[in-house]
Amino acid sequence: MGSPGAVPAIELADVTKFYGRSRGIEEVSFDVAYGQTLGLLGPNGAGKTTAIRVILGLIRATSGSVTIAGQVVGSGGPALQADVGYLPGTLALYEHMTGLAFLHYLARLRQRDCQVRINELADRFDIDLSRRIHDLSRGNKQKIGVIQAFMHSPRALILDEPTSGLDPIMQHEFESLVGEVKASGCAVLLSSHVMSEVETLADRVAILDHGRLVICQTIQEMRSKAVRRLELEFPQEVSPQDFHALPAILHIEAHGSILSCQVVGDETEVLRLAVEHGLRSVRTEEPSLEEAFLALVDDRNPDVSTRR
Amino acid sequence: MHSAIILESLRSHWRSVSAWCVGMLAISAMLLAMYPSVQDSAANMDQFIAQFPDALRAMFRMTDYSSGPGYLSTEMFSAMAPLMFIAIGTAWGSSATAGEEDKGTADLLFSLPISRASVVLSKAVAMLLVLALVGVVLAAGISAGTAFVSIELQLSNLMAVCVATAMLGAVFGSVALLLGAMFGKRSLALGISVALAIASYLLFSLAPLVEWLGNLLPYNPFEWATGSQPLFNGWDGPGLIWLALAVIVLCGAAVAAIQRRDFAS
Repeated sequence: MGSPGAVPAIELADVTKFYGRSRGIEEVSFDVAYGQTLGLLGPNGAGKTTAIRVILGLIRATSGSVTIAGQVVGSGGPALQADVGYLPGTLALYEHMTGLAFLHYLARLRQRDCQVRINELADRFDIDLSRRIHDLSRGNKQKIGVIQAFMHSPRALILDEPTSGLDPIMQHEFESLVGEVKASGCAVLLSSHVMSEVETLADRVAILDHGRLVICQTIQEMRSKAVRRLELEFPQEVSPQDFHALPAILHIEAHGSILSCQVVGDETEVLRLAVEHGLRSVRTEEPSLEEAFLALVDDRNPDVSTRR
Repeated sequence: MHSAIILESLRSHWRSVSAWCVGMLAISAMLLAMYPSVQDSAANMDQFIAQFPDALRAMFRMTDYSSGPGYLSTEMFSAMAPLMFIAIGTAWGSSATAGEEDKGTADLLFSLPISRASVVLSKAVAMLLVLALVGVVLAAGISAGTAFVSIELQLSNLMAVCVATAMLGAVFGSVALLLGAMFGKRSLALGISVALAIASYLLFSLAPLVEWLGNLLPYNPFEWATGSQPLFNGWDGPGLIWLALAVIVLCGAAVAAIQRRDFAS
């Protein structure tokens, strides 16, 4: 596993990039450790792809530093990318080649022999590599994109919308593949719009909005910041007035002996008070990552617009 | 440099490369087939051409038209062959890295552990190899054809003109490579490099007529390649050196340009 001690596989420190007409990113910092998956979320145009392209050296940061395995991208030469696998968000392949010829070409450019892994992955994703890429469906092209990212057993993977075009079975297969490489010590940076996928795969989540990092924390931490619904049942009618003063309560209403409330943050005080009132049962809905994400991004946007 | 990129470029374009070779051979065969008729009416022809205004003869560098070298020099190597080599060069040069960017494959290619410089240089080498191949085919075709139609042609002069013309194509191909590396747009690189080539050709062909244009000739790649009439006079050392230097400088500039590029997604 992470043999170079605490050196993260990928690290961005105060990275700023402005370019062309597209929005760049501003002072973004996050890292991905070996054996860990970081989910990169954000609305369209938030700067996710910009961040990824800076890591790959496809575009150069205006300021700040990007390191892979502790080495600064751009200074160490292209060899730095040898242990990185990349699946682009807008995947373009050499259409005239067969799948196998394409993978062999990339393997040759990487100066690696990836034959065993190619066969294994082709079997697993059930794809015929002897066909011309031009003749393949979108999903099958995506599978070739996945294979080329994984075939050289990289130590760090950068996946931009990796399951777009894959059917649910293949999405599941992909998720278990990511789980395996993660377990073997690979660092994974996963940009995705599919919340359930990020929820399943990611240990931590970084959210970008308008080019800035909104938050970078574990999924549990994120959930705790989301608004949740809590239903408290008592043996008798309870006045919601008693609960109003608690800071965690956003909204509360009574339906007979049931209090249903919206809470945010730490709910200990709510439960303590409920127990004092003779709480009989609690029902709660775990907020989905999606709700947490929407809450965070919505919160932020009015703030952004007033600043302008 | 990366042999895999060179080989793959050649392999994926073998159809267009063969088409260019066939085209070159077809045009040579056609011109050579017509030569006997030109020769038969040689006396008339020379008289006819003598009536041309000096200016026109100068424009098309018509020296000794009815002789074999004169005929080929005028019909093949004053415009046709240079423009064909320029077409090949600019097509290859413009699609080198800009083609990858246009197709969207640049993302994968440049995220591999290979330097940007080696990608550009490999593509440049592929372009030079194709131009060399077509040049050899052209020289071989003409030299084989002359056996059938009794043209007196020195093989060494034929080779000299083919090499010079192919290198002319390489110069404008390198212009396209540089523009592609700078801007990442294939059509832009192709358009500007072809426009430059046509402008150079016009300046070259009009130079005998317009005095001040004559002052520009030493800077014109057409002059370096064909100004000395290699089909009559053989290898033109300084001309070839200028052509080679132009290719080296332009490719070097392309390497420098691509280092600074931000590849658009």
